[in-house]
Parts: sequence; C-alpha cells; structure tokens
Amino acid sequence: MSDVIATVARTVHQGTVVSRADFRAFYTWRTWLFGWLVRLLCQVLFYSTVGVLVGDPEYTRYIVLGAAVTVCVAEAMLAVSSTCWDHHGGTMGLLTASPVSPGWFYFGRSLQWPASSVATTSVALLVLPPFFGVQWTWWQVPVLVGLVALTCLSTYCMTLLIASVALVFPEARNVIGNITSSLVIVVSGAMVPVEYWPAPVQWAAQALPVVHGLAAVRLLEAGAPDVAVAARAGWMLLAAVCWLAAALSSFRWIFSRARTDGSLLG
Amino acid sequence: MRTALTGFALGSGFQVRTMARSVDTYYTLATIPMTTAVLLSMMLYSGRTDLASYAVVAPTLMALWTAALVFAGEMIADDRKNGRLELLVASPVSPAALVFGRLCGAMLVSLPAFGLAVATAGLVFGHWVTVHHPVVFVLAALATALATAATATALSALFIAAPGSRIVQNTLSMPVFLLSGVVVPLAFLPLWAAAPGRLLYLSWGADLFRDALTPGPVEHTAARLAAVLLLGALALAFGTHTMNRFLRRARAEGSLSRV
Repeated sequence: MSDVIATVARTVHQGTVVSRADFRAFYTWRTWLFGWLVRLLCQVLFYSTVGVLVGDPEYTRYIVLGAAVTVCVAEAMLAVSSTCWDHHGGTMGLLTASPVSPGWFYFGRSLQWPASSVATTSVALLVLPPFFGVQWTWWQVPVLVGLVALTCLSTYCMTLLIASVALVFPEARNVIGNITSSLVIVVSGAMVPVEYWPAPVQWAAQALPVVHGLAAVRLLEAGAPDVAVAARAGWMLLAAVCWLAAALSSFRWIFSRARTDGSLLG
Repeated sequence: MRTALTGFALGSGFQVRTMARSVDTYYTLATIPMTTAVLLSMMLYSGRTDLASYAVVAPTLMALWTAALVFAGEMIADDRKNGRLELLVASPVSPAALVFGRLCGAMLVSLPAFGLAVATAGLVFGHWVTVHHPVVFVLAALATALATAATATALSALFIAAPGSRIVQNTLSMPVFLLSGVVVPLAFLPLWAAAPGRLLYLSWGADLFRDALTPGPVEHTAARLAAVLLLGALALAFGTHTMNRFLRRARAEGSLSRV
C-alpha cells in the first residue's frame, strides 16, 4: 500500500515539475498581479454590476459572492488547455511509452491553475464583496480560504475528466474548456439560484463540486451553523472523489488505447 | 490610396475564406448561448423583463471584442509561422490596410453571434427580441464593427512592435467589457469609472445598440455614430503609424525575423 502511495506521489511530483515550469513561462508576478488578477476581479465586477442595474442590493450581494467563487472555475478550466500542450511540445510519445499512471501525472501537470485560483478566488471573495455590503468577521476568513482551497481542488478534479476528453481532440481544447466553464457558471447557482432552472438541470448541477462549495460559502456568510457548512463541504469532496476516479479511468483508457493504435501521436 | 484599397480588399477576402475553417471563429461563438443564458436569467429572475434586450446586445458585442483580441493577436504570429510575413512586408500593398481588411472580415463573426444570442433568448427563454429602430441598428452594427476592426489593427501593430504586450491579449477582455458598459450602461457606474469608458468606442456602440432595441425614440443618433467612428479612426491612425514605423525600421535593420 505504501509503495502505491509513494509511486503516486512521485508521479504527481513529476507532473508538478512541468506545472511549475509552465507557470513561470506563462506569468511573471507582475503580469499575474496586474494582468490576470485584475482581469478576474473585473469579471466579478462585471456580473455584480448587473445587480446594480436591476436595482436590488440584496441580489447584488448574492451575485458578487457567486461571481467571486466561480473565478476558480474559469481558472481551473485552463487545465483543459495545458493538458493538451504535450501534443505541441513533442513529448506525447514519451508520455505514452512511460510506465507511470497517466492520470496521476496529469493531476500534477496542471496543478498550477488550482494553486493560482486559491489566491485569485480568495482575493476576489475578501476584497470585492465588502464594497457591496458583505462583511466578513476575522474568524470567518481562515474558514473561507479553506473552503476556497477545497472548491478549487474539487473543481480541478472535475476539469481533469474534461481535459482527458480534450486530449483526444486537442485542436478544440479552448472551445471545450470555454463551453464547460460557461455551462458550469450558468447552472452553478452563482448568478441565479439553482432552483431557477428545470428539475433535471437542478439534479445534474448537484454533481458539480462548485455548487456545494458556493453553497458552503453562502452559508458561512449567512452565519449558518458550522455543521451545515461542513456538510456542504463534505458533499463537494464526495463529488470531487467521483470526478477524480472517472478522470483517472479515462486517462488510463485513452493511454492504453494510444499504446496499441498510436491515436495520441497523430 | 490604391495600394491601401487593394490591401483592404485582399485582406478581407482572405480572412472570410480562412475564418470558416478556423477554430478561433468557433472559439469566439461557442460561449454566446451560455453568456446570453447567464445574463438573461439574471434579468428575468430579478423581474426586469424590460432589460432583456441588454442580455442579447452584450454577448454580441463581447463576441466582437473577443474576436478582435483573438485575431489581432494570432494574425501576425500565424503569418510568421506560415512564412507569409516576409512576403507580405515585401509586397507593395499597405500592411496596415491589409491587417485592417482582414480584421474587418473577421467582424462578420458578429452576424452569427447576434443570431445565436437572439435564438438563445427566444428558444430557451421564450423572449424574442424586437428591433424597434432597424436603421439605427444596422448603422450602429456597421460603425461598431468598423471601429472594432480599427482598434484591433492598433492592437495588432502594438503586438508586432512590442511582443511583450501580447499578455494584454489575455487580460483586455473583462476590463473593456466592464468599462465600456456592454451590459450595464455607464450611467450606472460611478463617474470615475464612467469617464474613461467614454473614451472607448464600444460604450457609444453599446448605448446605440440598446436604444435600437427599445421602443422609445433614439436621440442624437448622428453624433453618437460619429463618436464611434471618430474613436475608431483615431485607433486606425495610431495602428497605421505604429505599424509603418516599425516595418520601416525592421526593413532597415533586417530585424523582421525577430518579430
């Protein structure tokens, strides 16, 4: 058992080496701070001002929390693209031939996005909502950051399954990532309650980790009992484990097929 | 003037032909139904059906600007990758006119974008948008598309002259959507945020689009159209000047391969 864990840890670590190198090539601290973070904060303000437009301060507070939490969806979804970068880097053949578990490698390979999204989402939640009347008490801050971290990681687990599909259609990686990200934002309860949508959509939405993460953040803000917040976080983790298991199976199947028919090497 | 017109015609024709098979085209259009659904659900949930047309205008303008950023950023890089850049620079046509022509061709993406937004509002939410002022609508669409292509030409010139500035390609979308009031008119923003927005052609275009879809009279149409076109013309002049100056220097120093 400990051998299995050590192998998984080593594989994830090897993925994170690529992840760190990619992130450094992508951003400097200046472009991350003044480019990427500012863009995401503008995204939260963009949606929040709709609440101002419709003239409902209570609804504005609802939107600003939803828009801030879904920042992590937009960022985690970048893993769909970065999973496909090995196609262009010429390393796909080596990965296909490698004896490591491809799913765990890809888990580590794009970890830069959930790591970055913990920072961006936390900043979005702590800085912007107070301008719209949401007040955090000091003891809520560490709980909030913890919930954000779990939401980012859980959403990343969901993204990995989508990324495994994009690996087969690498030219469509950005389209796949954007459509999924937008769909999740539509039904996640970020801008309108999940109950607004038809019943089948509400049921499907329960499979999305961010739905539970966002609900937990709203409960925390409303001062709900700890057990209610923890229960939603638990549902989120359960959903994340299911998505991760599906993603690992998907990567394993795609790579075992590629080893026999060379399908990833075209 | 003749080389500019030739460049414009060649560029727009080439762009229309290549766009149909470009993934970037579908990238721009792919999220329109979801953006419309998010914005329209917010309007309808809050009981403001009178604002439903805002949720159709915004995704169309967002698609225009997204296409401008994507194509302005990728155009020169693609020319370089495909070995066309040196040939284009050596040819007698005006490079800025060629780029402007190509970006004007790219603006045709706004037609399916508007169609997708209208169809989503109608088919999913049962809210069919009425164009109350069709002439204003068509003129606003033309002026905004031209100004977008002109602004994208300026960005394209900036991306060639300062490759490091390409980082703005990923970051300019949301700040511009917010500051130009594509969904929330600038009148709802505080003055310090609304003032810079008035320098963006998109804010004047967005107001005109919204007015064209509302039953009341549209005021100062000519002046507002002129504001869109003037801001576009200024951007085009900046883009042409920057591109020409950079290419003159690149020719003299033989540094084009570093683009």
